[in-house]
Amino acid sequence: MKKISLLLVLIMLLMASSPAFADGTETQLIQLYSDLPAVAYTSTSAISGRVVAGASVEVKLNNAEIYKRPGGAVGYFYTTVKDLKMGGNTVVITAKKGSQTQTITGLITRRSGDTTNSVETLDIPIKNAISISFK
Amino acid sequence: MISMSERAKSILLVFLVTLSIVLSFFMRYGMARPYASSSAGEDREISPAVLSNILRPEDIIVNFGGMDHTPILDDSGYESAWREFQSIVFLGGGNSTAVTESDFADAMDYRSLTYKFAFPVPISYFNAANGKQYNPPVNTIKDVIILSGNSPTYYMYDGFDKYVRMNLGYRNNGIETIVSVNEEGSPLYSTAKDLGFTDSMSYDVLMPLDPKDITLPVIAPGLADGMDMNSLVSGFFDSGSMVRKIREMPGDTVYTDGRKGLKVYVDGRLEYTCSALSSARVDDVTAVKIASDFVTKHLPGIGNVSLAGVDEERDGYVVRYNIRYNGLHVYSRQYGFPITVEISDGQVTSMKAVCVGFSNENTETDIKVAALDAMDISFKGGLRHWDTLGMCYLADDGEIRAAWRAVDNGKTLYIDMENGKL
Repeated sequence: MKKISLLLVLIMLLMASSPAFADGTETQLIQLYSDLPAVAYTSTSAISGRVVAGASVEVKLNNAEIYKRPGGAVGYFYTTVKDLKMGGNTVVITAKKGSQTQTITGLITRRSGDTTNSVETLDIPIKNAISISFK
Repeated sequence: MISMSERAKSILLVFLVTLSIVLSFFMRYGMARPYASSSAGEDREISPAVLSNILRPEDIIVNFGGMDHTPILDDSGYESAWREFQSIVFLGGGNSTAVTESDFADAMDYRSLTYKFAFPVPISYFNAANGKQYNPPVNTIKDVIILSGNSPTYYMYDGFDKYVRMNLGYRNNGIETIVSVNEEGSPLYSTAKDLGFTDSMSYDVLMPLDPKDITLPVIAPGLADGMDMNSLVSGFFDSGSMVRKIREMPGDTVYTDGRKGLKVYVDGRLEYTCSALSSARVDDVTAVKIASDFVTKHLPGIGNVSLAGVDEERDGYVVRYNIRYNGLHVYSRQYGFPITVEISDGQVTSMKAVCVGFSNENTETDIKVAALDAMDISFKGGLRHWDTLGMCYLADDGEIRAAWRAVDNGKTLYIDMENGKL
Protein backbone atom coordinates (compact mmCIF):
# COMPACT_ATOMS: atom_id res chain seq x y z
CA MET A 1 0.00 0.00 0.00
CA LYS A 2 2.86 2.31 0.87
CA LYS A 3 4.45 1.61 -2.52
CA ILE A 4 1.23 2.48 -4.35
CA SER A 5 0.87 5.70 -2.35
CA LEU A 6 4.46 6.61 -3.09
CA LEU A 7 3.90 5.92 -6.79
CA LEU A 8 0.79 8.13 -6.83
CA VAL A 9 2.69 10.96 -5.11
CA LEU A 10 5.50 10.62 -7.64
CA ILE A 11 3.04 10.75 -10.55
CA MET A 12 1.42 13.89 -9.09
CA LEU A 13 4.81 15.52 -8.63
CA LEU A 14 5.72 14.74 -12.23
CA MET A 15 2.45 16.21 -13.49
CA ALA A 16 2.91 19.33 -11.38
CA SER A 17 6.41 19.86 -12.75
CA SER A 18 5.30 19.79 -16.42
CA PRO A 19 4.61 23.20 -18.04
CA ALA A 20 0.98 22.36 -18.75
CA PHE A 21 0.27 21.91 -15.06
CA ALA A 22 2.72 24.44 -13.69
CA ASP A 23 0.08 27.09 -13.16
CA GLY A 24 -3.60 26.67 -13.84
CA THR A 25 -3.91 30.28 -15.10
CA GLU A 26 -1.13 30.12 -17.69
CA THR A 27 -1.99 30.22 -21.36
CA GLN A 28 0.15 29.03 -24.21
CA LEU A 29 0.75 32.09 -26.36
CA ILE A 30 2.97 30.66 -29.13
CA GLN A 31 2.36 27.86 -31.57
CA LEU A 32 5.38 27.11 -33.76
CA TYR A 33 4.74 25.95 -37.32
CA SER A 34 8.20 25.79 -38.81
CA ASP A 35 10.56 22.86 -38.43
CA LEU A 36 13.58 25.01 -37.64
CA PRO A 37 16.33 22.40 -37.67
CA ALA A 38 18.65 21.69 -34.78
CA VAL A 39 21.45 21.49 -37.35
CA ALA A 40 21.85 23.84 -40.31
CA TYR A 41 24.32 23.65 -43.19
CA THR A 42 23.69 27.17 -44.54
CA SER A 43 23.66 30.58 -42.89
CA THR A 44 19.92 31.09 -43.42
CA SER A 45 16.84 29.43 -42.05
CA ALA A 46 13.22 30.46 -41.46
CA ILE A 47 10.84 30.42 -38.54
CA SER A 48 7.06 30.77 -38.50
CA GLY A 49 4.17 30.32 -36.14
CA ARG A 50 1.14 31.92 -34.62
CA VAL A 51 0.55 33.74 -31.39
CA VAL A 52 -2.82 34.29 -29.78
CA ALA A 53 -4.69 37.38 -30.98
CA GLY A 54 -3.30 40.54 -29.46
CA ALA A 55 0.05 39.05 -28.40
CA SER A 56 3.26 40.70 -29.56
CA VAL A 57 6.12 38.52 -30.71
CA GLU A 58 9.86 39.04 -30.82
CA VAL A 59 12.62 36.82 -32.19
CA LYS A 60 16.25 37.11 -31.10
CA LEU A 61 19.25 35.40 -32.63
CA ASN A 62 22.25 35.18 -30.33
CA ASN A 63 20.68 37.89 -28.16
CA ALA A 64 20.20 40.34 -31.08
CA GLU A 65 16.67 41.24 -32.10
CA ILE A 66 15.92 40.13 -35.66
CA TYR A 67 12.12 40.37 -35.74
CA LYS A 68 9.47 42.20 -33.82
CA ARG A 69 5.76 42.34 -34.43
CA PRO A 70 3.15 44.11 -32.32
CA GLY A 71 -0.04 42.37 -31.29
CA GLY A 72 -2.36 41.75 -34.21
CA ALA A 73 -5.75 40.24 -34.88
CA VAL A 74 -4.54 37.21 -36.83
CA GLY A 75 -1.33 36.42 -34.96
CA TYR A 76 0.81 34.86 -37.68
CA PHE A 77 4.52 35.61 -37.64
CA TYR A 78 7.42 34.57 -39.83
CA THR A 79 10.96 35.66 -40.41
CA THR A 80 14.13 34.49 -42.03
CA VAL A 81 16.96 33.74 -39.63
CA LYS A 82 20.06 34.96 -41.40
CA ASP A 83 23.77 35.02 -40.60
CA LEU A 84 23.91 31.88 -38.50
CA LYS A 85 27.46 31.56 -37.24
CA MET A 86 29.35 28.28 -37.29
CA GLY A 87 28.64 26.30 -34.13
CA GLY A 88 25.84 27.01 -31.70
CA ASN A 89 23.20 29.71 -32.31
CA THR A 90 20.48 30.52 -29.84
CA VAL A 91 17.06 31.50 -31.14
CA VAL A 92 14.67 32.96 -28.58
CA ILE A 93 11.03 33.60 -29.44
CA THR A 94 9.11 35.66 -26.91
CA ALA A 95 5.40 36.39 -26.97
CA LYS A 96 3.75 38.86 -24.61
CA LYS A 97 0.14 39.63 -23.94
CA GLY A 98 -0.70 41.80 -20.98
CA SER A 99 1.08 40.30 -18.02
CA GLN A 100 1.58 36.94 -19.72
CA THR A 101 4.88 36.01 -21.34
CA GLN A 102 5.97 32.85 -23.08
CA THR A 103 9.50 32.20 -24.27
CA ILE A 104 10.67 29.43 -26.56
CA THR A 105 14.38 28.83 -26.86
CA GLY A 106 15.98 26.78 -29.61
CA LEU A 107 19.56 25.88 -30.37
CA ILE A 108 20.64 25.72 -34.01
CA THR A 109 24.06 24.26 -34.62
CA ARG A 110 25.49 25.37 -37.90
CA ARG A 111 27.92 22.88 -39.38
CA SER A 112 29.85 22.85 -42.60
CA GLY A 113 28.33 20.77 -45.38
CA ASP A 114 30.96 18.02 -45.23
CA THR A 115 30.06 16.79 -41.72
CA THR A 116 26.78 15.13 -42.59
CA ASN A 117 27.98 11.76 -41.29
CA SER A 118 27.90 13.02 -37.71
CA VAL A 119 24.54 14.77 -37.58
CA GLU A 120 21.95 12.17 -38.32
CA THR A 121 20.89 11.76 -34.72
CA LEU A 122 20.92 15.53 -34.07
CA ASP A 123 18.53 16.52 -36.82
CA ILE A 124 15.59 17.13 -34.53
CA PRO A 125 13.06 19.81 -35.47
CA ILE A 126 13.01 22.75 -33.09
CA LYS A 127 9.46 21.90 -32.13
CA ASN A 128 10.88 18.85 -30.36
CA ALA A 129 14.13 20.39 -29.16
CA ILE A 130 13.01 23.45 -27.32
CA SER A 131 12.71 24.57 -23.79
CA ILE A 132 9.50 26.36 -22.90
CA SER A 133 9.19 28.71 -20.00
CA PHE A 134 6.30 30.67 -18.61
CA LYS A 135 6.37 33.75 -16.40
CA MET B 1 -55.01 69.42 -114.85
CA ILE B 2 -51.58 69.29 -113.20
CA SER B 3 -49.07 71.62 -114.69
CA MET B 4 -45.51 70.53 -115.47
CA SER B 5 -44.08 72.72 -112.76
CA GLU B 6 -46.38 71.24 -110.12
CA ARG B 7 -45.44 67.73 -111.24
CA ALA B 8 -41.76 68.66 -111.01
CA LYS B 9 -42.34 70.06 -107.52
CA SER B 10 -44.10 66.85 -106.45
CA ILE B 11 -41.28 64.71 -107.81
CA LEU B 12 -38.72 66.93 -106.09
CA LEU B 13 -40.68 66.71 -102.82
CA VAL B 14 -40.86 62.91 -103.00
CA PHE B 15 -37.13 62.79 -103.80
CA LEU B 16 -36.28 65.07 -100.87
CA VAL B 17 -38.42 63.06 -98.44
CA THR B 18 -36.84 59.80 -99.65
CA LEU B 19 -33.35 61.33 -99.38
CA SER B 20 -34.15 62.54 -95.89
CA ILE B 21 -35.26 59.04 -94.86
CA VAL B 22 -32.15 57.42 -96.37
CA LEU B 23 -29.78 59.96 -94.76
CA SER B 24 -31.54 59.62 -91.41
CA PHE B 25 -31.06 55.86 -91.64
CA PHE B 26 -27.34 56.21 -92.35
CA MET B 27 -26.95 58.77 -89.59
CA ARG B 28 -28.63 56.37 -87.20
CA TYR B 29 -26.76 53.22 -88.20
CA GLY B 30 -23.67 54.56 -89.93
CA MET B 31 -22.52 54.44 -93.55
CA ALA B 32 -20.34 51.42 -93.18
CA ARG B 33 -21.26 47.99 -91.93
CA PRO B 34 -20.80 47.64 -88.22
CA TYR B 35 -17.31 46.94 -86.93
CA ALA B 36 -16.33 43.36 -87.61
CA SER B 37 -16.21 42.28 -84.00
CA SER B 38 -19.63 43.80 -83.33
CA SER B 39 -21.32 41.48 -85.78
CA ALA B 40 -20.17 38.12 -84.51
CA GLY B 41 -17.40 37.81 -87.05
CA GLU B 42 -19.77 37.88 -90.02
CA ASP B 43 -17.78 40.56 -91.80
CA ARG B 44 -14.31 39.34 -91.04
CA GLU B 45 -12.84 36.22 -89.50
CA ILE B 46 -11.15 37.01 -86.18
CA SER B 47 -7.65 35.58 -86.09
CA PRO B 48 -7.03 32.75 -83.57
CA ALA B 49 -3.98 34.78 -82.50
CA VAL B 50 -6.37 37.21 -80.79
CA LEU B 51 -7.48 34.36 -78.56
CA SER B 52 -4.02 32.88 -77.96
CA ASN B 53 -2.72 36.31 -76.93
CA ILE B 54 -5.16 36.57 -74.04
CA LEU B 55 -5.23 32.91 -72.90
CA ARG B 56 -2.33 33.24 -70.51
CA PRO B 57 -1.66 32.51 -66.87
CA GLU B 58 -2.20 35.39 -64.50
CA ASP B 59 0.87 34.36 -62.49
CA ILE B 60 3.96 32.24 -63.11
CA ILE B 61 5.96 31.21 -60.04
CA VAL B 62 9.48 29.82 -59.94
CA ASN B 63 9.98 27.15 -57.28
CA PHE B 64 13.62 26.73 -56.25
CA GLY B 65 13.05 23.61 -54.17
CA GLY B 66 12.02 23.62 -50.52
CA MET B 67 10.60 26.83 -49.07
CA ASP B 68 11.97 29.29 -51.64
CA HIS B 69 9.85 30.63 -54.48
CA THR B 70 9.58 33.82 -56.53
CA PRO B 71 6.96 35.16 -58.95
CA ILE B 72 8.17 36.09 -62.44
CA LEU B 73 7.58 39.83 -62.81
CA ASP B 74 9.58 40.81 -65.90
CA ASP B 75 7.85 40.46 -69.24
CA SER B 76 10.66 38.62 -71.04
CA GLY B 77 10.95 36.04 -68.24
CA TYR B 78 7.19 35.59 -68.29
CA GLU B 79 7.17 35.09 -72.07
CA SER B 80 9.94 32.47 -72.04
CA ALA B 81 8.24 30.57 -69.19
CA TRP B 82 4.94 30.69 -71.06
CA ARG B 83 6.61 29.37 -74.23
CA GLU B 84 7.95 26.41 -72.24
CA PHE B 85 4.43 25.66 -71.01
CA GLN B 86 3.07 25.64 -74.54
CA SER B 87 5.85 23.46 -75.93
CA ILE B 88 5.55 20.92 -73.11
CA VAL B 89 1.85 20.82 -72.24
CA PHE B 90 0.15 21.56 -75.56
CA LEU B 91 2.29 19.02 -77.38
CA GLY B 92 0.09 16.43 -75.68
CA GLY B 93 0.92 12.81 -74.98
CA GLY B 94 2.16 11.24 -71.76
CA ASN B 95 0.69 8.92 -69.19
CA SER B 96 -1.73 10.37 -66.68
CA THR B 97 -2.20 9.36 -63.05
CA ALA B 98 -4.80 10.72 -60.67
CA VAL B 99 -3.21 12.37 -57.62
CA THR B 100 -4.44 14.14 -54.51
CA GLU B 101 -4.51 17.86 -53.68
CA SER B 102 -1.71 17.19 -51.22
CA ASP B 103 0.46 15.62 -53.98
CA PHE B 104 -0.22 18.67 -56.13
CA ALA B 105 0.73 21.09 -53.35
CA ASP B 106 3.88 19.10 -52.58
CA ALA B 107 5.02 19.45 -56.21
CA MET B 108 5.83 23.10 -55.45
CA ASP B 109 8.56 21.84 -53.11
CA TYR B 110 10.57 20.67 -56.15
CA ARG B 111 12.47 22.76 -58.67
CA SER B 112 9.63 23.64 -60.98
CA LEU B 113 7.41 26.34 -62.48
CA THR B 114 3.84 26.93 -61.34
CA TYR B 115 1.38 28.42 -63.83
CA LYS B 116 -1.79 29.88 -62.32
CA PHE B 117 -4.67 30.84 -64.59
CA ALA B 118 -7.27 33.30 -63.37
CA PHE B 119 -10.10 30.79 -63.69
CA PRO B 120 -10.62 27.21 -64.90
CA VAL B 121 -10.04 27.76 -68.63
CA PRO B 122 -11.97 25.28 -70.82
CA ILE B 123 -9.76 23.14 -73.05
CA SER B 124 -11.98 24.17 -75.98
CA TYR B 125 -10.63 27.74 -75.61
CA PHE B 126 -7.03 26.54 -75.97
CA ASN B 127 -7.96 24.35 -78.92
CA ALA B 128 -9.69 27.26 -80.65
CA ALA B 129 -6.64 29.44 -80.02
CA ASN B 130 -4.07 26.89 -81.11
CA GLY B 131 -6.04 25.42 -83.99
CA LYS B 132 -5.42 21.83 -82.90
CA GLN B 133 -7.00 19.21 -80.69
CA TYR B 134 -5.38 18.84 -77.29
CA ASN B 135 -7.12 16.21 -75.18
CA PRO B 136 -5.81 16.09 -71.62
CA PRO B 137 -7.64 14.07 -68.95
CA VAL B 138 -9.27 17.27 -67.62
CA ASN B 139 -11.90 19.55 -69.19
CA THR B 140 -10.46 22.76 -67.78
CA ILE B 141 -7.05 24.02 -66.70
CA LYS B 142 -6.63 26.18 -63.60
CA ASP B 143 -3.11 25.49 -62.27
CA VAL B 144 -0.18 23.56 -63.72
CA ILE B 145 3.19 22.71 -62.12
CA ILE B 146 5.96 21.53 -64.46
CA LEU B 147 8.90 19.87 -62.72
CA SER B 148 12.43 20.51 -63.90
CA GLY B 149 14.17 17.63 -65.67
CA ASN B 150 14.84 16.04 -69.05
CA SER B 151 11.75 13.90 -68.66
CA PRO B 152 9.43 16.54 -67.29
CA THR B 153 6.48 15.57 -65.15
CA TYR B 154 3.68 18.03 -64.84
CA TYR B 155 0.72 18.30 -62.49
CA MET B 156 -2.63 19.74 -63.53
CA TYR B 157 -5.52 21.01 -61.45
CA ASP B 158 -8.83 21.54 -63.21
CA GLY B 159 -10.03 24.20 -60.76
CA PHE B 160 -12.69 21.95 -59.27
CA ASP B 161 -11.76 18.57 -57.82
CA LYS B 162 -9.46 16.83 -60.26
CA TYR B 163 -5.68 16.60 -59.93
CA VAL B 164 -3.59 14.61 -62.39
CA ARG B 165 0.10 13.94 -62.91
CA MET B 166 1.39 13.58 -66.46
CA ASN B 167 4.63 11.72 -67.17
CA LEU B 168 5.98 12.66 -70.57
CA GLY B 169 9.18 10.69 -70.99
CA TYR B 170 12.17 12.44 -72.53
CA ARG B 171 11.32 15.89 -73.81
CA ASN B 172 13.95 18.54 -74.29
CA ASN B 173 12.89 21.64 -72.36
CA GLY B 174 14.15 24.80 -70.66
CA ILE B 175 12.42 24.62 -67.27
CA GLU B 176 15.66 24.13 -65.31
CA THR B 177 17.29 27.03 -67.19
CA ILE B 178 14.44 29.36 -66.20
CA VAL B 179 14.64 28.20 -62.57
CA SER B 180 18.42 28.75 -62.52
CA VAL B 181 18.24 32.18 -64.18
CA ASN B 182 15.80 33.40 -61.52
CA GLU B 183 17.81 31.94 -58.66
CA GLU B 184 20.26 34.84 -58.50
CA GLY B 185 19.00 38.05 -56.97
CA SER B 186 15.25 37.41 -56.99
CA PRO B 187 13.39 38.33 -53.81
CA LEU B 188 12.35 35.14 -52.07
CA TYR B 189 8.87 34.18 -51.01
CA SER B 190 7.47 31.21 -49.11
CA THR B 191 4.03 29.74 -49.57
CA ALA B 192 1.42 29.64 -46.84
CA LYS B 193 1.94 25.87 -46.85
CA ASP B 194 5.69 26.28 -46.24
CA LEU B 195 5.01 28.58 -43.29
CA GLY B 196 2.19 26.46 -41.85
CA PHE B 197 -0.49 29.11 -42.37
CA THR B 198 -2.97 26.87 -44.16
CA ASP B 199 -5.49 27.00 -41.32
CA SER B 200 -6.45 30.47 -42.58
CA MET B 201 -4.91 30.72 -46.04
CA SER B 202 -4.83 28.88 -49.35
CA TYR B 203 -1.67 26.78 -49.52
CA ASP B 204 -0.19 28.60 -52.52
CA VAL B 205 -0.42 32.21 -51.30
CA LEU B 206 3.08 33.70 -51.55
CA MET B 207 4.47 35.64 -48.58
CA PRO B 208 7.59 37.78 -49.17
CA LEU B 209 10.40 36.61 -46.88
CA ASP B 210 12.25 39.90 -46.93
CA PRO B 211 9.92 42.74 -47.95
CA LYS B 212 12.81 45.22 -47.70
CA ASP B 213 14.23 43.65 -50.88
CA ILE B 214 11.11 44.52 -52.87
CA THR B 215 10.46 47.88 -54.51
CA LEU B 216 7.58 48.65 -56.84
CA PRO B 217 7.69 51.20 -59.69
CA VAL B 218 5.17 54.02 -59.28
CA ILE B 219 2.78 54.28 -62.25
CA ALA B 220 -0.04 56.54 -63.37
CA PRO B 221 -2.82 56.39 -65.99
CA GLY B 222 -1.58 57.72 -69.31
CA LEU B 223 -1.55 57.30 -73.06
CA ALA B 224 0.92 54.90 -74.58
CA ASP B 225 3.72 56.36 -76.68
CA GLY B 226 2.62 57.51 -80.13
CA MET B 227 -1.08 57.58 -79.27
CA ASP B 228 -3.42 60.52 -79.06
CA MET B 229 -6.85 60.66 -77.51
CA ASN B 230 -8.62 61.85 -80.66
CA SER B 231 -7.56 58.89 -82.76
CA LEU B 232 -8.36 56.55 -79.88
CA VAL B 233 -11.87 58.01 -79.54
CA SER B 234 -12.55 58.04 -83.29
CA GLY B 235 -11.67 54.32 -83.40
CA PHE B 236 -14.85 53.58 -81.45
CA PHE B 237 -17.10 55.14 -84.10
CA ASP B 238 -17.80 54.29 -87.71
CA SER B 239 -16.21 56.46 -90.34
CA GLY B 240 -18.77 58.90 -91.69
CA SER B 241 -20.87 58.92 -88.55
CA MET B 242 -21.56 62.24 -86.89
CA VAL B 243 -20.11 62.18 -83.40
CA ARG B 244 -21.13 64.77 -80.85
CA LYS B 245 -18.88 65.72 -77.97
CA ILE B 246 -20.50 66.67 -74.68
CA ARG B 247 -18.65 68.04 -71.67
CA GLU B 248 -19.98 66.98 -68.30
CA MET B 249 -19.08 68.05 -64.81
CA PRO B 250 -16.54 67.56 -63.28
CA GLY B 251 -14.68 67.28 -66.58
CA ASP B 252 -15.88 63.97 -67.99
CA THR B 253 -16.40 63.85 -71.76
CA VAL B 254 -19.14 61.98 -73.59
CA TYR B 255 -18.95 61.15 -77.29
CA THR B 256 -22.02 59.82 -79.08
CA ASP B 257 -23.33 59.20 -82.58
CA GLY B 258 -26.79 58.26 -81.41
CA ARG B 259 -26.22 54.52 -81.32
CA LYS B 260 -22.81 54.31 -79.69
CA GLY B 261 -21.61 56.21 -76.67
CA LEU B 262 -18.18 56.64 -75.16
CA LYS B 263 -17.58 58.31 -71.81
CA VAL B 264 -14.05 59.31 -70.87
CA TYR B 265 -13.90 60.10 -67.17
CA VAL B 266 -11.63 62.78 -65.83
CA ASP B 267 -9.89 60.09 -63.74
CA GLY B 268 -8.99 58.15 -66.91
CA ARG B 269 -11.72 55.51 -66.91
CA LEU B 270 -13.46 54.65 -70.15
CA GLU B 271 -16.99 53.37 -70.68
CA TYR B 272 -18.36 52.36 -74.05
CA THR B 273 -21.94 51.36 -74.85
CA CYS B 274 -23.64 50.33 -78.05
CA SER B 275 -27.21 49.21 -78.68
CA ALA B 276 -27.56 45.72 -80.13
CA LEU B 277 -28.49 45.39 -83.79
CA SER B 278 -29.14 41.73 -84.39
CA SER B 279 -30.45 38.84 -82.38
CA ALA B 280 -27.73 36.33 -83.26
CA ARG B 281 -26.74 34.20 -80.27
CA VAL B 282 -23.09 33.10 -80.19
CA ASP B 283 -21.24 30.49 -78.16
CA ASP B 284 -18.80 31.38 -75.38
CA VAL B 285 -15.63 30.88 -77.45
CA THR B 286 -16.95 33.23 -80.15
CA ALA B 287 -17.99 35.73 -77.48
CA VAL B 288 -14.47 35.71 -76.02
CA LYS B 289 -13.02 36.12 -79.53
CA ILE B 290 -15.28 39.10 -80.28
CA ALA B 291 -14.58 40.73 -76.91
CA SER B 292 -10.82 40.14 -77.13
CA ASP B 293 -10.64 41.49 -80.68
CA PHE B 294 -12.50 44.61 -79.52
CA VAL B 295 -10.13 45.14 -76.57
CA THR B 296 -7.03 44.57 -78.71
CA LYS B 297 -8.23 47.03 -81.36
CA HIS B 298 -9.48 49.79 -79.09
CA LEU B 299 -7.01 49.66 -76.20
CA PRO B 300 -3.73 48.95 -78.00
CA GLY B 301 -1.54 50.58 -75.38
CA ILE B 302 -2.93 49.04 -72.23
CA GLY B 303 -0.24 46.41 -71.68
CA ASN B 304 -0.40 42.67 -71.15
CA VAL B 305 -4.01 41.63 -71.15
CA SER B 306 -5.16 38.14 -70.19
CA LEU B 307 -8.55 36.52 -69.82
CA ALA B 308 -9.83 36.62 -66.23
CA GLY B 309 -13.24 35.02 -66.60
CA VAL B 310 -16.36 34.50 -68.68
CA ASP B 311 -19.91 34.47 -67.31
CA GLU B 312 -22.98 33.59 -69.30
CA GLU B 313 -25.84 35.99 -68.71
CA ARG B 314 -29.42 36.02 -69.91
CA ASP B 315 -28.63 38.31 -72.85
CA GLY B 316 -25.12 37.11 -73.64
CA TYR B 317 -21.75 37.02 -71.89
CA VAL B 318 -19.66 39.13 -69.56
CA VAL B 319 -15.95 38.75 -70.35
CA ARG B 320 -13.38 40.04 -67.84
CA TYR B 321 -9.70 40.68 -68.35
CA ASN B 322 -6.61 41.11 -66.20
CA ILE B 323 -3.81 43.54 -66.97
CA ARG B 324 -0.18 42.96 -65.96
CA TYR B 325 2.02 46.02 -65.68
CA ASN B 326 5.52 45.80 -64.24
CA GLY B 327 4.58 42.21 -63.43
CA LEU B 328 1.74 43.23 -61.10
CA HIS B 329 -1.98 43.07 -61.76
CA VAL B 330 -3.91 46.32 -62.09
CA TYR B 331 -7.36 46.49 -60.54
CA SER B 332 -9.99 49.19 -60.39
CA ARG B 333 -11.73 50.39 -57.24
CA GLN B 334 -14.89 51.04 -59.29
CA TYR B 335 -14.93 48.02 -61.60
CA GLY B 336 -12.82 45.38 -59.84
CA PHE B 337 -11.31 43.78 -62.93
CA PRO B 338 -9.58 46.39 -65.11
CA ILE B 339 -11.48 45.57 -68.31
CA THR B 340 -14.99 44.17 -68.58
CA VAL B 341 -16.76 43.58 -71.89
CA GLU B 342 -20.38 42.63 -72.37
CA ILE B 343 -21.39 40.67 -75.44
CA SER B 344 -25.04 40.61 -76.38
CA ASP B 345 -26.54 39.23 -79.57
CA GLY B 346 -23.06 38.55 -80.90
CA GLN B 347 -21.72 42.07 -80.55
CA VAL B 348 -19.99 44.24 -77.99
CA THR B 349 -22.64 46.22 -76.16
CA SER B 350 -20.50 47.52 -73.32
CA MET B 351 -16.88 47.90 -72.31
CA LYS B 352 -15.52 49.36 -69.09
CA ALA B 353 -11.80 49.98 -68.82
CA VAL B 354 -9.74 51.28 -65.92
CA CYS B 355 -7.82 53.59 -68.30
CA VAL B 356 -6.34 53.61 -71.80
CA GLY B 357 -2.74 53.01 -70.78
CA PHE B 358 -0.07 53.51 -68.13
CA SER B 359 3.09 55.51 -67.69
CA ASN B 360 6.00 54.89 -65.34
CA GLU B 361 6.67 57.80 -63.00
CA ASN B 362 10.39 56.97 -62.73
CA THR B 363 10.16 56.52 -58.97
CA GLU B 364 9.73 53.49 -56.78
CA THR B 365 7.89 52.74 -53.59
CA ASP B 366 8.72 50.12 -50.99
CA ILE B 367 6.41 47.94 -48.95
CA LYS B 368 5.47 49.97 -45.88
CA VAL B 369 2.54 47.72 -44.98
CA ALA B 370 3.73 44.11 -44.74
CA ALA B 371 1.68 41.09 -45.77
CA LEU B 372 0.84 40.22 -42.16
CA ASP B 373 -0.23 43.82 -41.49
CA ALA B 374 -2.49 43.58 -44.54
CA MET B 375 -3.99 40.41 -43.05
CA ASP B 376 -4.69 42.16 -39.76
CA ILE B 377 -6.29 45.12 -41.55
CA SER B 378 -8.42 42.89 -43.78
CA PHE B 379 -9.40 40.87 -40.68
CA LYS B 380 -10.95 44.09 -39.35
CA GLY B 381 -12.68 44.37 -42.75
CA GLY B 382 -14.37 41.03 -42.16
CA LEU B 383 -12.03 38.51 -43.78
CA ARG B 384 -11.37 35.32 -41.84
CA HIS B 385 -9.72 33.27 -44.58
CA TRP B 386 -7.41 34.40 -47.38
CA ASP B 387 -7.87 32.66 -50.72
CA THR B 388 -5.60 35.29 -52.21
CA LEU B 389 -3.24 37.84 -50.70
CA GLY B 390 -1.12 39.47 -53.36
CA MET B 391 0.57 42.69 -54.35
CA CYS B 392 -1.16 44.70 -57.07
CA TYR B 393 -1.78 48.17 -58.44
CA LEU B 394 -5.14 49.74 -57.58
CA ALA B 395 -6.57 52.49 -59.79
CA ASP B 396 -8.76 54.85 -57.82
CA ASP B 397 -9.78 58.44 -58.42
CA GLY B 398 -7.18 59.12 -61.10
CA GLU B 399 -4.32 57.60 -59.12
CA ILE B 400 -2.72 54.17 -59.29
CA ARG B 401 -1.29 52.99 -55.98
CA ALA B 402 0.48 49.85 -54.83
CA ALA B 403 -1.84 47.75 -52.70
CA TRP B 404 -2.47 44.33 -51.22
CA ARG B 405 -5.45 42.50 -52.66
CA ALA B 406 -7.10 40.15 -50.18
CA VAL B 407 -9.85 37.83 -51.39
CA ASP B 408 -12.04 35.48 -49.40
CA ASN B 409 -14.81 33.57 -51.13
CA GLY B 410 -15.53 36.37 -53.60
CA LYS B 411 -15.16 39.21 -51.08
CA THR B 412 -12.28 41.44 -52.15
CA LEU B 413 -10.49 44.08 -50.07
CA TYR B 414 -7.66 46.36 -51.15
CA ILE B 415 -5.17 47.59 -48.56
CA ASP B 416 -2.99 50.55 -49.48
CA MET B 417 0.64 49.47 -49.25
CA GLU B 418 1.75 52.90 -48.05
CA ASN B 419 -0.84 53.94 -45.47
CA GLY B 420 -2.74 50.71 -44.75
CA LYS B 421 -6.12 52.21 -45.61
CA LEU B 422 -8.83 49.88 -46.87
